[in-house]
Amino acid sequence: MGAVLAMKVFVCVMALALLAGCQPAIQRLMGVQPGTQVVVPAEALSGPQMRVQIQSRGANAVLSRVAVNRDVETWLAVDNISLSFRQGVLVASRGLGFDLMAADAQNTLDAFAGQGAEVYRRQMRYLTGDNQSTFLTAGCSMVFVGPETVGGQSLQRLEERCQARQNLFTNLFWLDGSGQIVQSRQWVSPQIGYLTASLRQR
Amino acid sequence: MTQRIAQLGLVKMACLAALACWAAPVMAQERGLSFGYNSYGIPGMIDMPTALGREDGELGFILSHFNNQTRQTLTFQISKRLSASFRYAQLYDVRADPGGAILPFRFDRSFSVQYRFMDEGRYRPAMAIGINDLVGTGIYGGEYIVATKTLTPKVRASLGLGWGRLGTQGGFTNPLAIFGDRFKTRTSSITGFGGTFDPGTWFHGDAALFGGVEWQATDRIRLTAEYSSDDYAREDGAAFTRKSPFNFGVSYRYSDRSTIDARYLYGSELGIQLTYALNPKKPRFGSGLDSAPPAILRRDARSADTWLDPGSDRFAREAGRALSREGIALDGLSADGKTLRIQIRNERYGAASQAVGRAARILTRLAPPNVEAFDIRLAAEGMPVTSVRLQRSEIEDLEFHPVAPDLLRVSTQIVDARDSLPGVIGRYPALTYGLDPYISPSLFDPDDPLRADIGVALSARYEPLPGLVFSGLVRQKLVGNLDNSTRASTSVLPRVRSEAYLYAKGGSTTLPELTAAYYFRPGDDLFGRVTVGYLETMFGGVSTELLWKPQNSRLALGAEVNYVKQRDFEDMFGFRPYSVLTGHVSAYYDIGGGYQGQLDVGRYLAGDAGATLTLAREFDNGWRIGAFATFTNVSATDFGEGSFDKGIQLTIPLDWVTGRPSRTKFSTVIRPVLRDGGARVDVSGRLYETVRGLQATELDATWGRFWR
Repeated sequence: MGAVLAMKVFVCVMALALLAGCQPAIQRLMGVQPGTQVVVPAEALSGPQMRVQIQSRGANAVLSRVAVNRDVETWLAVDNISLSFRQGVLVASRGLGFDLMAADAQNTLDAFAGQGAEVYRRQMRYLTGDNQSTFLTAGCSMVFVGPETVGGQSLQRLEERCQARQNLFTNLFWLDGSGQIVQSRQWVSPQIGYLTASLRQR
Repeated sequence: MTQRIAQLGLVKMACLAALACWAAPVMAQERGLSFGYNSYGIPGMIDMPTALGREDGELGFILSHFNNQTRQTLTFQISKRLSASFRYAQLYDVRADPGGAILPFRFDRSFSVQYRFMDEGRYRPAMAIGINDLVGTGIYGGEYIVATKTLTPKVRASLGLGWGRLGTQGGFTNPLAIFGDRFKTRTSSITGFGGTFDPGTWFHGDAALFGGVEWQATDRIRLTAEYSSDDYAREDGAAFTRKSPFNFGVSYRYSDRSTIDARYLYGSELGIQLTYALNPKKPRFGSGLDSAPPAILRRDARSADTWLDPGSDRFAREAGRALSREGIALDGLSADGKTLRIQIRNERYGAASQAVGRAARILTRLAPPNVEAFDIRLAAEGMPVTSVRLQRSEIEDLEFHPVAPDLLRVSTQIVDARDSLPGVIGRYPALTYGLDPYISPSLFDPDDPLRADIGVALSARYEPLPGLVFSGLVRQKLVGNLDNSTRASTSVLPRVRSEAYLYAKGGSTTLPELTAAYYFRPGDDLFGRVTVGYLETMFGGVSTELLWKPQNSRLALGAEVNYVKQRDFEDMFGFRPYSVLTGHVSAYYDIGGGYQGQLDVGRYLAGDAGATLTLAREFDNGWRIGAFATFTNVSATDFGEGSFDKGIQLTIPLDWVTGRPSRTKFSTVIRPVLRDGGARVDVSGRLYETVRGLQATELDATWGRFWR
C-alpha cells in the first residue's frame, strides 16, 4: 500500500505540476532544449552600451546595441531580452513575457520639442496569453521639470504623465544639451511596470 | 475503510499543496462571476448551486471530501453561460436507493451541465438551470432552477427549486404537475450500466426549495450559509448521521488559482474542499518568454558588395544555420531575381506564424537588395502545405509600427503550396532519435481508481526521401502497477480494447509503434497518407487516409480506411487471429468563436457501425477541451457498463506551462470506462492535425505572433 500510495502521490503531483508551472524540473524531464543563445556580434560589444533595470523582474543588465532600423535602435542583453527605442523612447520589448510588441513615439518626441498638442495619444500593442493583439491607448501630457544634475552632468528632466484605462504611469526622461535622452524611466506593460535605462559613456 | 479514505484524502491534499507552491498572488475577482465552486464542483455555495457562472474558459479541478464521501470534479466553463462537469465520486457505506440495503462502497461517475438563461439586472436576479447527472447511474440525479441576486458588491443571496436528490428535504408536490400528473412521480433511475440519457425522469417527482447567502468578507475570505434541500437519504444513518439541513462554510482564497474551503455540514460533519482553477487564456508568462527574435536589417543599412548570391551553396548553408538557431529547419530553397523562396519546418513554436516571422527576419539579413519578396513555404512530414508571400519592404518598415500585424497582413498572401522547392544539400536522408520519460495512466478501475506505469521511451525517425518516414518507439517500464489489474473482460464483443491490461502483463519492454509512412499531396487542397506496420499497442496493419482541406475553409472532409490485425499480448512482433476492416469518413467544421465540431461515420474496431460526434473549444494558444460520444449498432446491454463510448479530450501545450517555446502538447482522453464498442485505431500522423496548424485559418488567428 505504501508503494502504491507513493506512486499515486508522484503521478498526481507530476500531472498537476505540469499544469501548475514547475518549469525547470519539467524541462529537464521532458528533454526540452532551452532556447539557443542569441549571438551578440563582436562589434556590438565594443559599441555603445546601456544599463537597464527592471524592478518587477529583479533584472539588472548591460545591453549592447545590435540593430538600427532608421531611428529605432535595438539593444540586446546576454539573456536574450531585447529593448527597442525610437530616439530614446521605448517602442518594443522582447523576452519579458508580457512584452510591449510595439508603440508609437512620434507624439512624445514632438512634445520634447515643445510642439504638438497639450494632451496627446500614445498607442501600445501587446499580445494576450491567447495570442491575440491587444491595444492600450494612453492619454499623455509632458511636463518640463527643469535642470537636474545626474552623475555630474547637468540634464533637463521631463515627465510624461499618462493614463491608459486603469493604468496610471509617469515616464521620466533626462535629456542632455543636444536633446538626446541619456537616462529614462519608462513604463512597459501593466504586468512588467517600469524599466530604467541609462546610456553608458565609453 | 475509514483509513483508506483518509489515505486517499491525504494523497489529494498533497497534490493540491504541491500546486499551491507555484501559485501567484490574488487578484480582484470580476463582478458577475460566481464566488466559487460547491462540493459537486458546480459554481455554487456548499452543496447547493448558484446562478452565476465562472469566468469564460475557466477549467476547475475540485476535490471535496467529508465522512465517507469524496468527489473529484473537472468543470469547464464552456461559454459565459454554459458550464459542464465530469465527476468521479467514491462513496462508502451508501444505499443504492433510499431505504435500500447498505453497500460497502460505490464509485460513481456523472456528467452535469449548468446554463444561465437570464443575466442579473438592477432588480432582476441571474437565473440558471442545471442537471446534475446527465448520463450516469443516477446516484447524484437532481435538477434545479436557481436565482442569484447581488445585494451589495460583497453579499449575494440565492434561492432555488430542486428536483430529484435536490428535492428531498422539505419536498412538496412538483409544481410542474400543472403540466400533467406524470411530473408527480420520479422512477428510480439507478440502472446496472448507467450511461443512458433518462430525460423522462428529469424535473419529475417532489420538488423542494433551497437557498443561501454568501458574504465575501475580504479579498481572500468568504463566509457562506445555506439551507440544503438534499436529505442524504442514501447516506443518512449509514455513512453519517444527518441532523440539520443547514450548512456553514468558510473559503480562503490562497491564490488566484487555489482556494481551500472548510465546512460544517448537516449539523454533524466537517468537510474540506480544495479547488484549483485556471484559465487557458491566462498563462503565467503572458505571451511567453521567447528569446528576442533576430533584428530586421534594412537593405540600405549594409554595403552593396557584401551580400551572398542566393543561388550559391554558401547562401543555403548560412540560411540553414541562421534558421536552425531559431528552431526552424530549412528543407528547400530557390531564387528567381525578385523572389526568394524557402521551404521550412517549424520545430520550435506553438504557432507557425512565429516561425514564419522569424524566418522572414532572417531573410532580411541575408537576401541581396534586389530581392523584393519572400515566399516562405511551411511543410510537415515532408509535404509542402502553405505558401506565405511577404513584401520585404513592408517587413522593414513595419517592425515597430503599432498596428504592424494588420498592415502586414494586407500585403501578404497565404495560399496552398502543392509543390516542394528544390531540396537543399544534406537535407535527406535524416535520422533523429530521442529518449524521454513517459507516464501511462489508467483511471477509474473500481479495484484501484488510479493506476499508472512510468518508464523511458526510445524513439527514432528516419526519413530517406521527402514524405517517407520510418519511425519506431520502444518503451521500457521502470515502475508501475498497470499489470495488477485482475478484472477479466466480460465483453461479448470482439475484445478490441477491454483486454488492454493483458498487454501490460505481457512484458515490461514494449513496442507501441513501428511504422513506415508516406505523406503526399495528390492534388490542390488534398493531402494523403499511407501507414504500414505496428500502428499502436493493440493493432498493426495498413492505414490509409485522404484529406480535403482548403486554406481559409471552415469545412474539411476526410476518409480513412484501415485493415488491421490484433497484436499479440506478449510477443511484440506477433499477432492474434482477430482482424478487421475499419474506416471512417469525417467532416471537420470550424463553428467559429473557437468552437470546433467533428463527425466521423464508419465501421469501428469491433466491426460495429455508427458515428462519433466531437465538440471542442480551442484556444489560440493550443489549449483544447472537448467531449465526444460514439453511437454504434451495439446495444447498451452488449456494450456493457456505460452503455456507449464517450469521453473528454484535454490538450495542454507545454509552452503554456513553462513559458518557453515548444511544439510539445500533452493530450489525454478521459473516458469514464473503456469498452469494446465504438473503438478506433489509434494511428499516428492523422492528416487534419498535421496540416491545419500550418494553414491560413490558424496563421491568421495567431498572426500577432509573426512579430514575436
